[in-house]
Amino acid sequence: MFELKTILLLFYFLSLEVTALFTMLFYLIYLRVIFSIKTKIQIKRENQVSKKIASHLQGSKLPAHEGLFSDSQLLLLVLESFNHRLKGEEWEKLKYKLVSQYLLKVARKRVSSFSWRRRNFAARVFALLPLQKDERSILSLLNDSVFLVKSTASLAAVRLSSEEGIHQILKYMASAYGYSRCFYRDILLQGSLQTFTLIQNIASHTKDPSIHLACLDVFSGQTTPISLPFLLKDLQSKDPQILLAALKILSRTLLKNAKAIFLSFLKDPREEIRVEAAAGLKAFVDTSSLKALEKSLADPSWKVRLQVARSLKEMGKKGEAILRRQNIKKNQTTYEIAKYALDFLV
Amino acid sequence: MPWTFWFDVFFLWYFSIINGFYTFVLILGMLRTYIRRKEITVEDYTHILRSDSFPTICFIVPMYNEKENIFDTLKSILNLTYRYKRIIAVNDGSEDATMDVLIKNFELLPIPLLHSENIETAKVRKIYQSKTHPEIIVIDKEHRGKFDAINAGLNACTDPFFLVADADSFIDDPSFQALIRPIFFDEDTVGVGATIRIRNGCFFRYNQIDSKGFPDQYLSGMQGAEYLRTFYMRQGLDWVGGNFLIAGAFSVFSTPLIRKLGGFCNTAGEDVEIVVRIHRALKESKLPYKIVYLPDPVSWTEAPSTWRSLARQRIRWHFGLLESIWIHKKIHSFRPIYGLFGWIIFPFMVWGEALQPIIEIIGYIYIIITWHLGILNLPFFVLFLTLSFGFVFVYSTICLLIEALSFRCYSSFRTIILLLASCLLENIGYRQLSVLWKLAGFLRFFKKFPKVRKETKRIKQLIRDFSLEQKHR
Repeated sequence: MFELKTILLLFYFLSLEVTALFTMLFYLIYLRVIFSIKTKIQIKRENQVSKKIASHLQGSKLPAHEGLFSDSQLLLLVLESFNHRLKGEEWEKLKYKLVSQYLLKVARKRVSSFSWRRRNFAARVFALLPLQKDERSILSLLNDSVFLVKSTASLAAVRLSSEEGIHQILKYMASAYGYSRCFYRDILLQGSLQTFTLIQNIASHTKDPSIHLACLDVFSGQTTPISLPFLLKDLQSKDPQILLAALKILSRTLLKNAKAIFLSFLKDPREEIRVEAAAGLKAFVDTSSLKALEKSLADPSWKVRLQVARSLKEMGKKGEAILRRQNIKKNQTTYEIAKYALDFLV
Repeated sequence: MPWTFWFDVFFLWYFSIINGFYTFVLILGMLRTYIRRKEITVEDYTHILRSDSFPTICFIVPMYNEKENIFDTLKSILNLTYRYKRIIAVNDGSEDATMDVLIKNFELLPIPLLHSENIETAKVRKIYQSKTHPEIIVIDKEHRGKFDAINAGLNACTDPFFLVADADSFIDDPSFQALIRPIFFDEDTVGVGATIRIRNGCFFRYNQIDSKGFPDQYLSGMQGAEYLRTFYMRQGLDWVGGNFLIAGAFSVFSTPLIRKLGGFCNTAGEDVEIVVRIHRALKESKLPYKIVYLPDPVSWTEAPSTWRSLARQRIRWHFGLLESIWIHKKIHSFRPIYGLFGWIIFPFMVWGEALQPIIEIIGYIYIIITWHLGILNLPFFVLFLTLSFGFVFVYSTICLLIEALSFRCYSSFRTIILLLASCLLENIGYRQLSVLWKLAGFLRFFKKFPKVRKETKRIKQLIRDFSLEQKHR
């Protein structure tokens, strides 16, 4: 009835499907068994390494060679988890010994590896123990095309306070926007005083406005004990982003004439600037600031009104008194925002 | 040559081409999942989660008659480790006790309007904020549909990105951390989609899902197999021009972009439409962008558990797909400006997804007629079954295998076996019903065509306005 060729073709198709299915089914069962065994072994080994490190921390002597630490990937994983939780001289000493004895050599070899996972391993080791002699390697990893290598290397560069590295991170930050910008800013914010001094130097000397803005962005994220000579100039900038960042820094550093500056910017036509000025004024609990803020409680922009109410609430009793005396019959908008601040804002 | 020859050739070629494409994208999907698995082992989010300087992520939760789920859903979002979040729950005129549940559990107090209403929505009755969890804002508005509820939330959103989560979806902690990656690490990202899994029968414990009880019944098993297949395929689509859909149950979008594009529109598939609109508008304006699809499972959603609700959902989905295709039919012009999306994805959307049920049903009718006439070509019949049914089974099993090799969401052996059985059984009955529901989607499309045309005009204008604004910049 049918040609032999057709029957063979059908048989071929069907047998192919059935074979594929059974192979997959057996593979699935095999995987599940293997996976459960592998997981158990991995957990056991991790526990052993953790216990060993904990015992060394409690004072037991580190031998010339510890067989348990030969799996560098596992050792790095455990050391990283310890490093997240521990601080102090004893931990730093032990970390230095373990990383330099078991991981650094491997990491240095892997810097120029073809596999990005190996380069990532190197970056993680350098982030755990950044040494001056590894600066070149860290910088080369910082220029890596793979984000997971680059981002870890940037952590190492900041911990090392490498000038070239910090400059590179600022460049990345300058070219990014939105959430991705925050990532680099956060890494820089983890830096030491030396890091902030380096950023200050870069901000003073750079001719690239985007890098300057990135520096301002970092300073606006944290109160720093160093002086910023360029701040007054930035407060006169025509670039609204630079002005905004400078105002944010000003509310953290509080220069002598800061109050006057904030008061003048509270009348600025741009709402973002008024918001920042209102935020800055909360540090000056005196009649002139309170009066200006009370007036701004009726600002046409809801963003400004909200910030003014927040600032008044944070100013304590005097500010709260202003919020309480707002009257619904006199001005519904100011009453509503004042009530909101009293009910919700902390 | 008999007249049936050309029909035989057409059906076999059609299914071979479509299956070939599916295989191709599945291979790409496998590769992507493999790469992602490697990344997960070295990713460290600790410093992001500990940071004090990261911006807020806004969750928009549209809800309509969700008194059963809404408390747990909001709790699951509140419990996420990422500290900076704002939750805007929008009550789209629920007729049940949704608002009462919220007022009672979160101590809601009315607050003044603290945002500009840029996108027109149905009347907002009141806005509330939680006294116990100030990050929760509830907008109570009149009913107009999910798209309108999202738009109301979008008006109140002040963050650069917003996340739309269905009121019956759960987000677990490790998976949410994966979501942070594309938004933080790639500035061109304008949208992120994530894998959705079905949670019928699963437990939610300490913000982690326990899937041992899945599937709890026949329907959830069928849908579970279906979701697995669809989401692994979408990984592959990401590499050949981008996805045409980000599941509405869990999606992330750039706030300024969606605002500029006029917000979500009144379509049955607002999630498909907005993604296609982003592709079209940004390609026409020649702007760089990325819509990323995450293989990591992020959201666990409640799937329909009755035949009636499933039918309603599938009819709506297909109607939404057809609507989006009609609205953005311009992309099917094979113009170079639309790139791979216009050359591969959109034609696949039309010929592989939208028209496939029509062709399959014609195939069934053709088989019945030729069988009655006694001229059924048996080898063709077997090949047709092999290509359409057999292929789906093999395809689903491969997806199950990828799952077992990668994320292992379904940890129990019982679940795997039941899913495997579902892959086999879905060809009998469930698949044919799906085809019928899709046909009903076609009928609804023709019935509501005047409304679709009206919306097409509006969206065309929105895209034109967006392009003009970009040109002026």
